Amino acid sequence: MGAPAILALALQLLPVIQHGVPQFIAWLQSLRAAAQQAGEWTAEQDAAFMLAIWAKTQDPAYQPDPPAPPAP
Amino acid sequence: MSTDSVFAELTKIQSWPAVGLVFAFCVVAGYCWKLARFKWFSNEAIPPIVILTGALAMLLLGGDHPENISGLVWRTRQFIVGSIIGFSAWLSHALILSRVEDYLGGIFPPINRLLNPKPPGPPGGIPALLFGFGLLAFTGCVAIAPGSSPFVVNVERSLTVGQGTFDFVLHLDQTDRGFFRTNAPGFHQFCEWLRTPTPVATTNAPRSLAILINTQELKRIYKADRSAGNSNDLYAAWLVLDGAILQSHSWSNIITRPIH
Repeated sequence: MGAPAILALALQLLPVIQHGVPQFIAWLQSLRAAAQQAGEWTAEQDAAFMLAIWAKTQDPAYQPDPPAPPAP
Repeated sequence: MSTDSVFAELTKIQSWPAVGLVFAFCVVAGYCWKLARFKWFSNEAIPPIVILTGALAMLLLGGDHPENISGLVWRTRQFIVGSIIGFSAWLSHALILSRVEDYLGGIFPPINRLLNPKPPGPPGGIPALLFGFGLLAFTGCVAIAPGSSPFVVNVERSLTVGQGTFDFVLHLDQTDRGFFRTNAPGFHQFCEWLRTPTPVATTNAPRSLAILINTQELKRIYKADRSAGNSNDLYAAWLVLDGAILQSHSWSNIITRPIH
């Protein structure tokens, strides 16, 4: 494969890198938060966690693929 | 693929946040240094060069200091943040990008000749060890405060890590589902497994969230009544959560390994 194929692959990977890096940093921050937790959550933290989780049910990233169209 | 679409994609880089820009710049600087092959400077100098690059770039991109923070403290802070981003960029190369190089080098011989990749080592190994030490150095584990239940605190830590891990994996797949469906079908299927609607609290939620909600609910019940039965229920839910987190980490590792 030549340069156009490599360029096409790089362009295909660009959004993955663009969105992946902030997500990777967010994941590192979650590890950091977990490692620095010393005590049990307060009621407010419990409620905030549940709110955040329920909010994610509307996140497109959490929605399954649409069913494949029936074969002709 | 038109020229306009290429420029449209490249223009999007301008909207990246400073952290993402510095990270990407560190990776580019590392490759420039590697490809330059300075005879008077070995490639072993790349990590400190990349870390210093991140620190200086963050100093330049950090912007003006807020009114409530002195300039010296702000610049020092930006320098430290940049160093950490530079270190993360180097780790990303050692753990992920070097494997992508090996993979691409197997497909495109010119890339192989350009980068001259080393033969792949055993999975994990020294980079993984360094990553672990680096993470510990930057996070620092704290002791559990007196009066707090270690069981509850560790479950809550898993909830935090689980939330971040599922977010990372699912958003990575979401960036281009078609790409991963074709090139990493196992990874995509695992993401679909995490997305499968599962009954929880009289409704349906994606399995990953259902696991978190279920564990959180059982933890709440256990905190209200610390009986053996509730402890067993919470422990079982915790095992399910940890299993899903471990699988997510395994898939993250697998999709970055070269296929020969």
